[in-house]
Amino acid sequence: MPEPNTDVIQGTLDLLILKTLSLAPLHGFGIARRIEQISRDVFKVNPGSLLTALQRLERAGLLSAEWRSTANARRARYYTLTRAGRKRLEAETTDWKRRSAAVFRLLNAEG
Amino acid sequence: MASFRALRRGLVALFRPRQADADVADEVAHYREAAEAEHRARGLDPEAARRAAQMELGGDLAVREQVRTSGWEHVLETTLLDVRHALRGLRASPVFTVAAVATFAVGIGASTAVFSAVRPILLEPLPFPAADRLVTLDDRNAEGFPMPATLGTYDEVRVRARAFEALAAADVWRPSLTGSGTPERLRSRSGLPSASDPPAIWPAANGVIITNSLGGWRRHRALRRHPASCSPSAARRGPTSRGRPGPISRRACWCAPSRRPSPGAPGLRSWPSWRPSLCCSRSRR
Repeated sequence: MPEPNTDVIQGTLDLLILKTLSLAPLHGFGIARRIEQISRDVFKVNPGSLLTALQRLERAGLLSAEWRSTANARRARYYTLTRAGRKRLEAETTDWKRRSAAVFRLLNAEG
Repeated sequence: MASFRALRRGLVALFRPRQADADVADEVAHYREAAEAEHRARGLDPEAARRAAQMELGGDLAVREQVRTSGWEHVLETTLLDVRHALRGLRASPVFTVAAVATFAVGIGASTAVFSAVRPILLEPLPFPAADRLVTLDDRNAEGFPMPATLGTYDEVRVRARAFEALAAADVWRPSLTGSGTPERLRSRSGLPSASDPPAIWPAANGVIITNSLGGWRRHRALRRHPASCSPSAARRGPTSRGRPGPISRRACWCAPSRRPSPGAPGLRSWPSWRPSLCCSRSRR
């Protein structure tokens, strides 16, 4: 039996990151693990894609980032959702629900 | 605001590449160490945990490269590197450099020259109102090739054709432009005026000399602005139909028709290669 696809649905990584950070500020690894936990391992985030998306969102002003020291005295970059990021999250969530509902209706259509 | 932030971050990464690299390296290293610690917490021995974390990450360097190359500054960075590489290559092989530069110079020069000729001949409209209504009329020989219209044809068309508002006959003429400066040979057409011609139906009429010498046109552009330039009416008082006009002076002017010719009839072809651009009056002797 082939392994199930754990790739994040194309175009939804930004939405998942914004939603995860709306719960609490996190560093890159924490965001990846939180997405996997909440999705119950349906999605596994590629670290390269995640860090690239974090840089893009931070430059777009949707996230703010700051360096903090971790328990093992290592620098970690923590990301926090900004006000613009929260607005974007609301808009993206509304749009995603509309689209996914449409897909759901199509899949349940009967002839 | 967001674009300004992106610009600022990109500039920082561009001018402080070591700092940007260190930041990304730290973030990637933290990710790997956190993953390794998690695997150890699940019961893997340190070596297996390190290998599992490395497999999950896919290699520090690859991830760092992926993150570093995602910004706009990477495009500029690689472009500058390409330019530097090209300049070094050119400096290393001067013969090739000279050949390449010469090729470019010749190519650009040739293109400019061709366009300089094509633009006034084909692209720019004639300096007359309703210039697209100016046509030339030719006879056709038995093989269908155009040949100059005879005076008989001209008279017939003048009497019978209703498709034209006005007509004028013109002949090829190559006058010499004399006066101050180097004398110059112009490619021109002299008009064949007639008492029945309406005044200034188009520049070829009433003895006005029109040149389509592109070089002459470029060189004598300033003549149009000269205070001594004659008016169109003065140009119309120029040569008569008797014989060829003599050398023309450097008194030049624009001659725009005051009336618009009628649209051409079928069978007439427009006059794209003959460009009346400069009108000169005959010298007063």
